[in-house]
Amino acid sequence: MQTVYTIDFTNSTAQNVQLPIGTYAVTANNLKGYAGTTISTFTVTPNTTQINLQVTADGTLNITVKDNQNNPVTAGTLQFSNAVGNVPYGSTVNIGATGNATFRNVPHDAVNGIDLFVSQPTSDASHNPITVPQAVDMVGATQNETILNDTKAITVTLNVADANYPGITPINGSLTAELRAAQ
Amino acid sequence: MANLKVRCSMGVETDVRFKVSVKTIPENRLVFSETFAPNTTITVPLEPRKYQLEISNNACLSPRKIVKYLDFTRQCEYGYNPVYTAPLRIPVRTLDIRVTDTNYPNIIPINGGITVCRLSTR
Repeated sequence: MQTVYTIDFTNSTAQNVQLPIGTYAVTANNLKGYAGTTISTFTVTPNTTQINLQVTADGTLNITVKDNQNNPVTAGTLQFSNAVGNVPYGSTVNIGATGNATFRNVPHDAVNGIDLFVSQPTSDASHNPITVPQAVDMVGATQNETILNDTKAITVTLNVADANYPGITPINGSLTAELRAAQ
Repeated sequence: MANLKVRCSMGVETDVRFKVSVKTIPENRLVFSETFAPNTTITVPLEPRKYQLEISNNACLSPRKIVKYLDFTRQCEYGYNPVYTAPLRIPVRTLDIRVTDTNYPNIIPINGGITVCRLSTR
């Protein structure tokens, strides 16, 4: 009969685990975000003091980046990061011509979800990068999300003059402008 | 005849077997050799003479072996059917184990449990 041991992790670490020497197969049956995934075997020798395991998640996150006119961002990259955006996780993913980008091997949890943050470090000519990460709750093994990236704002100087008597008075106050079509 | 009784304790290591062999002294003739599961008591009938008892486990990486000399010509040994309990427990290591995401290191603090099953004692 094979002896089975349960190892509990808190913040990615399990301390003072007691295991007899030997080679072990691992089942990630209750690892939040990684349930049912595979972890390689490891060996405990008479001199082992620490084991570093790596786990690969099996979720897929499809993200479409569009602006407020429903036009896709046609180039650039997306990146997982921490909530602030100053610590990137993993490699960037390219945004395609239709505004779609796909992250693979993403952890997911059907019960509580996995809180992830996505920023857009680079963009196409018509849209700015997104430097403030957007939150994504990864619940399903395959999930589709849309991120809004407004059309790039251009700094311009507007002048207004009286049509019939230019310069008759200095015109003060404000007007409102509504975007009818993005370029 | 006297009965030699041997019981091998290996704690939770139920997937390890232990081997008992008995040789005559001084001829070094093997009179008994069998392999058993731990925590079972075996009985070996022996003549009233001297023997060498060897108990070992089959853990390849760190085997344990116990050798005892038995004098069954002595009445006390012969009469009391001595039981030799051999603690052959495989060494247990105290470890820190860390798990990280292969593709997105530190993307989330990983919590929860894994189960591990020993494939071999190597």
